[in-house]
Amino acid sequence: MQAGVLECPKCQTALPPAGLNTGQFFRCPGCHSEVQAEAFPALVRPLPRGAAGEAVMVPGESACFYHEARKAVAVCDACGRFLCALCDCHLNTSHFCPGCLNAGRQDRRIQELETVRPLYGRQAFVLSLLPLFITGLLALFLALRYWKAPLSLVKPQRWMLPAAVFFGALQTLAFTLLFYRLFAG
Amino acid sequence: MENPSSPAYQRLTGAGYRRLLPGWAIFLLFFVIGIFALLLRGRRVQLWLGPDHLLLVEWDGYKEYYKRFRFADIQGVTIRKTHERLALNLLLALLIALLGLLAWTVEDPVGVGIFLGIAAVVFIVLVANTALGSTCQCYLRTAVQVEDLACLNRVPRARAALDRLRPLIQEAQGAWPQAQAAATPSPAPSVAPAGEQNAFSATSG
Repeated sequence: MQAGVLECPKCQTALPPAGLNTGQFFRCPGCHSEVQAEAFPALVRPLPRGAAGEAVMVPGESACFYHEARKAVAVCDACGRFLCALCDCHLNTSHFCPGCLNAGRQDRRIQELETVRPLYGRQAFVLSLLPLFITGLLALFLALRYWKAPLSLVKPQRWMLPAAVFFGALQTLAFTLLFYRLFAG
Repeated sequence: MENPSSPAYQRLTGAGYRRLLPGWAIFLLFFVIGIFALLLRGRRVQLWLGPDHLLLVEWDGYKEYYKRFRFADIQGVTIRKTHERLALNLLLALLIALLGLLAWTVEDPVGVGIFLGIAAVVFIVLVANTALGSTCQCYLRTAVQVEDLACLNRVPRARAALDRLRPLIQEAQGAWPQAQAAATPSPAPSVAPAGEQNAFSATSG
């Protein structure tokens, strides 16, 4: 991936600037595929350089929690510790120390870092509709155990957990009655 | 049950699959392994617009996988036309011809009706495939990755999505630096040729 140029997705040839942002297809000079490309200013902007943190010059000046010799420039939004420029992890409008960032990712407290979310409601609902006895119990367990688990980020289907409880309980009851009739009756 | 601080997302046009095999191969496999060919579709992909980022959601039925692209980080979007529509149309036309031939050879009127009925259904699929517009692959580039936007698999859809994204990205990134402004034509709304416009391009779903 070359910096500052858009490439053809097929042959990785640099696309000519004259063809960009025209709203029309043009032929890639390398593979002759029909390509439409739109470039944005971030393509040519240099990436911001990381800072190592300034040394503490005046005695008593706020220092970084992790580096005593470095001047604090930010406060962690999660734990309140002072951070130098090196330790300051900037996430959108928030500042975190590396420890809180890692903990937030693992505990799913920082939503911007969440990459996978299990859909327990759907799992429980599908299980509740499979008539295999054990599936009804599993659906009940999943629905009740993860009742407060976060729903889908984009399509929260709130009805699935109550429906899973209903059908799971119904299935368990039906199988219990059936077994009772078969073995006890 | 839901985090109250969750940003509200708006669905962007297009839905597709991050396929394990090309579409025409899955179509052919349908005649070999039947409905189980659908298992090779891979994860379903959708795009959602957040307040300051584009959210790519992949969905396998039981889990959602997220990728976020901040508008300020998007460097470019590339659309490349593919020949998948043509390949699928050829296959469908061949199937219609085969069914027509079978209807021609069968003397039983019920058999003729069945073959012509199936041919009519395949014809409707062919017309729909043609009306949806050219197939394409759409890629989004940031400083560190090139992401395949599998849901933007038709040119009209990809252009509609780009038209919606463009002002948001421009607002987040501001103007071009002076040196590049002269070299790069200013972004203009994409105008689809008459053949590419269809009734499906403006729908968000």
